[in-house]
Amino acid sequence: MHYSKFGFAATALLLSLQGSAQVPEDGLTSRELGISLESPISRVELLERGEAVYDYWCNTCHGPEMLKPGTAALAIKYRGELPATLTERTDMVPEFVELMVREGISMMPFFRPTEISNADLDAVTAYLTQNTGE
Amino acid sequence: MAIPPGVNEQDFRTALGEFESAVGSDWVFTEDEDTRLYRDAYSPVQNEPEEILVSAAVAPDNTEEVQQVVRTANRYRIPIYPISTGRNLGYGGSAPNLSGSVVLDLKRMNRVIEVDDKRHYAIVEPGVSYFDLYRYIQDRNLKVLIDCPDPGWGSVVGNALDHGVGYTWGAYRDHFISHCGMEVVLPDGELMRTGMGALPGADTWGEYRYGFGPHVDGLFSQGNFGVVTKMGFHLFPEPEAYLKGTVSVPARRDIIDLVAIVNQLEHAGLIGMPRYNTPLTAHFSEPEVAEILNQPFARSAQDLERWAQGNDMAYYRCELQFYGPGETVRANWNYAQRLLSDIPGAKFSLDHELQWPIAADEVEGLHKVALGIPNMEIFRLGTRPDAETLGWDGEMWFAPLIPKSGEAVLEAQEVFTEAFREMGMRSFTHPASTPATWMYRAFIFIMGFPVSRIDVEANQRQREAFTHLANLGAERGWGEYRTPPVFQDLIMGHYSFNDHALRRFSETLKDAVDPNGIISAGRGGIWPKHIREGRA
Repeated sequence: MHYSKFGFAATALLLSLQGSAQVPEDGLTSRELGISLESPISRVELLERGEAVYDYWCNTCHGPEMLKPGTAALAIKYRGELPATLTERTDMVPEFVELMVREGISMMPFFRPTEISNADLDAVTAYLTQNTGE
Repeated sequence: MAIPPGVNEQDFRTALGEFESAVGSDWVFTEDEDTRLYRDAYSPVQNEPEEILVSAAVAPDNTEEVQQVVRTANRYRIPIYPISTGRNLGYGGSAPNLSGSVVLDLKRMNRVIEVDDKRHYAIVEPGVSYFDLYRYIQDRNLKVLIDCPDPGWGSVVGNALDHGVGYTWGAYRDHFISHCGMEVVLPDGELMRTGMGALPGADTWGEYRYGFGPHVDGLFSQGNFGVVTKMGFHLFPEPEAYLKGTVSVPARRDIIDLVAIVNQLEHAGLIGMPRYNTPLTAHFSEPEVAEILNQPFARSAQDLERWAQGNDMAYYRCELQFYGPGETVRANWNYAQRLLSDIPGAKFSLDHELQWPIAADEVEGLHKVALGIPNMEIFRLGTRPDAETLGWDGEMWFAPLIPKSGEAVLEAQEVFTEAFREMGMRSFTHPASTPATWMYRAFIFIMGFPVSRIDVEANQRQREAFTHLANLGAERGWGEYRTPPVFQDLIMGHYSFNDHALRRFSETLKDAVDPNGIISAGRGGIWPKHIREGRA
């Protein structure tokens, strides 16, 4: 199943309209996200796909809040020398992202292709390294 | 390419071809870079010869594909091991019990079949995580709560099948008890439904769990009799209000009366999950307290209590959670205080009151799972790359069931703390340890043993300690409710009444239902005949 840009936008709109019913960890289900087996051709779509994959698979631990375990761990690890939130990093290279997803580190386990396919790993890698070097 | 044990290469290649025909070549994994992702990420035997590795993985999209894969496996006697989301961390992760097995990865089967917020149930596939089910319910503004364990990424089905537990009301937080009907692919590929699902045309799958005749669902939990492809679950109707209050008591032996009264409240249906804790652990690194804890148990317990009272601190606390109409939760909190006031020195605090719908800013800092909101915050306890957690890359859970009484808590504190002292290890328990309360009708005296990614010797020491404590507990009638694969034979061995009659019965069933022994060999300590006999 391929990622539907329209479906994602519609869901986001729906969520924003729910007002007070909205609580943490809203977002797509894994069924709605789907698994891509081929990377999008355009750079824009690749980054959009990467963001969607990040929001589902990474954000629950690496979101900006300090309650998120990955962010809390990186805050201790880097002690302010690097941002604790992955999306704010400008130093990550693709090999690093791929290594973390397929090897894990410390308590973070690795992720299988039935969770993050190789194409989706490419997308999330593109998303997380888009500001590298800036 | 790794070959499953007892299978010749030609048969395995043929079987892989049939798997590809069934699910598509994109969803059959045989390369090392993929199959290594089915190890147990928290394996206590990683990088040792005992570590479980898989030969391949197959990921079907639907029940029909599962049936085809199972038929092929049965034809060529390929050992297969179904996983749901594969996040059973601390109890085995996504790894099988038998090295060389083919993992049947059900993550792609992630359909929410139905959620009914008038009759309060859901029917889901194994790949549906707690996050998924929660988001499905939120998107549709359905008025039901889910009961989730600490990490929200796990499978609703898989967690229940492993006897997993959560945090709300008794009948919901025992996830297997809250299940209602299942669909199972049997070892010959045949499809079976249990409960009301067995009655064609019935619309009561999610409502009445027994149907008619023997209730066989338990065979598929911690078992190896089939592949569960759908399950129903009772859901908690969204209440109007939530109230959390805390009672504090001053003396170590107050746990006896405290547990008795809290049991009365809980078993009468007046509170959800109670949570016991002690404020003393926050002071354990202070030199005076550390010295107290270094003494033999009886002395240490006595001095710790004296220290707490001298510093005007409670010895134990218990958080009480009330769900229901606003008026009722307040009245029940008043009633709880009346009963608990019988304990001399008991103090009370009203911590939180909430009303549904709950907004995001209201739950920050609260225990979200108690409100049915899945998250990953529990991992914050472990993912701290500081000195204290260096080499703590995961854990294996030691989770013995003890009676739901204060007397049992006092005994467990002493037995385990003394055992750690005798082993010369830093103790995970102490004279103020409190029990975990996930189980509705028993306590678990749970502790996490660290697992290292690199330190083999440390892992060996932890396994020895784990084994020693498990045996020590079993001598007192405290058995594990769930355990990593490397300990499953040991633990099943503890459940030995009448010369292991329970295990022998399961083995008899196993041989009849799965004569080729293809499904999850060794899971729950039940091995197929050809492997049992090979070991005898």
